[in-house]
Amino acid sequence: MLTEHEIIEKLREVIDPEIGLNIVELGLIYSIEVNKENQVHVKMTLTTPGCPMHDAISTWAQRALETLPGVAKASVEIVWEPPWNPEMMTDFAKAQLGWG
Amino acid sequence: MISSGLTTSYAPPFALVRNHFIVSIVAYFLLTLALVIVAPWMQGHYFQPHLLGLTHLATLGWISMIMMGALYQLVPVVLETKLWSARLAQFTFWLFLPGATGMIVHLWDYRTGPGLWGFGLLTLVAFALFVTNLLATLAQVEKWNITGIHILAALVTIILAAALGVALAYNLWKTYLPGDHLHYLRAHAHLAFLGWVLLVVMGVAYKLIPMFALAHGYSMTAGKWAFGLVSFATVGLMTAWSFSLFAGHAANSNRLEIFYALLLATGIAAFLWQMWLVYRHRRRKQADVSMHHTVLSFIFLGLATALGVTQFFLPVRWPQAVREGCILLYGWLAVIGFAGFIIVGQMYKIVPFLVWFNKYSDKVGQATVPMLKEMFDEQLAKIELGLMLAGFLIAAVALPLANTLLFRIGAIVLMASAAIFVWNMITIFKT
Repeated sequence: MLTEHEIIEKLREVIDPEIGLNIVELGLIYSIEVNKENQVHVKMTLTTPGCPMHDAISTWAQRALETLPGVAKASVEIVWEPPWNPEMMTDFAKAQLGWG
Repeated sequence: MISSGLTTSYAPPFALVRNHFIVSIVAYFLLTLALVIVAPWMQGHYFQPHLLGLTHLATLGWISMIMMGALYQLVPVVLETKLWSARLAQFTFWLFLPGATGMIVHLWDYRTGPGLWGFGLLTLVAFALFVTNLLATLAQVEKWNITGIHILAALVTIILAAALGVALAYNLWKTYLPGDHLHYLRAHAHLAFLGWVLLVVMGVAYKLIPMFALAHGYSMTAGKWAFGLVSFATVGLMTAWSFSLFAGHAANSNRLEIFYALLLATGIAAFLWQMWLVYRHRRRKQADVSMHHTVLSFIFLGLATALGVTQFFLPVRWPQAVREGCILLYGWLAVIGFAGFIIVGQMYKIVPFLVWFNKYSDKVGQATVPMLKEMFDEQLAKIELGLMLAGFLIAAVALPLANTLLFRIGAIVLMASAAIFVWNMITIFKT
């Protein structure tokens, strides 16, 4: 059975190429669902509402998840509610950005 | 940056944007080389053959070229629509390139016959096609934002500025305009710079700078006021100049002109205040080399504005050479200081981003991909910034002093910084 921890660790491979931080540290992952068939569904956001880049990011995250052993199918959904704010970043990410 | 896209399914072909950027980068280096050559002419009145050629190398070859390429990329992505015609955009590029080149060469030698006018007309047609393409793109937009409104206003203005430029080219060939040619030239330059360059920079800055700086939770009120004031004041300035032309007033004694210049300065101050709010609310506290360029650009915009307003009040008893040097300094601050620093700074962000997405977005999750900052030598970029600032300041001091040697030293330092910049850009494209 897949665990949320395994999935989160895998999503850490999806890195913002500009900031150098992954989407987990940036606080972009909102929820993770795994059903009995080991199908994974991730809800995530981007830091700016109305961002049109969800295709590239969701593909990237989906591709990372599909390489995880045991995953039958992965889907990533970009949502805009609640809007992302910097408080959602982990303490590590804040420190990396020289903030907090 | 994951925050918002510069590259999506809405984006135009990479080659289209790349071609614009490469020509612009080459033009920037040639500009710095030309500055070394024209040092002896960087004093006295600004209406001199080499300076006219130099100015159009900067405004057409470098600034407008990069703006057109960037807008082809940004407008569809930021406003979530497809570019109306990528093929038309490529065609426009191949009209604009010879048109602008021909104009620059003719102005450099002050060949003011049909050749200059013809190349000017070609450039105008290219601008018209560019504007048509982007207006057709904007017509498909469903969700407007402040960036889109700025760009719409800038598109209207660039056509007017380019048309006035062609009218001036014809006037140099066969004089037909009433009054002083320089009066129209001033309107042409300000219309292009305020209505085209400044409005696009403002609109794009509201989108990109918070995105790169991870700025959140600030009011946009100042930015909205800035747009209203700058747009209104630009129209007002053109009206005042038209009025003074036909009423026969001496240009600098026109009170309407001073009023609109002050209004414009207020609008630019509002823009700078907005940028200060963004800077204060940034979550990415460590400023990178791009942000340093950008901050300097805004400082020089403020200084250019202050000096522009001051022109109205320079004591008449001041030596003519100093007064003329101040006008050159005003142009220097605006073109190299403001436009130059922000273009160079933002290219350190945009070019790696575009190249990265073109080359690596399909490889993510399957192969190791570089971080954007790994695509160029950041230490070299810092040296480039230092040299650019030093060269810019040395030349700036030389202008009011009318010191050729000092200006040439500044220009050589600036050229060294441009060479490093070009090297970094080549490195990125070859990544």
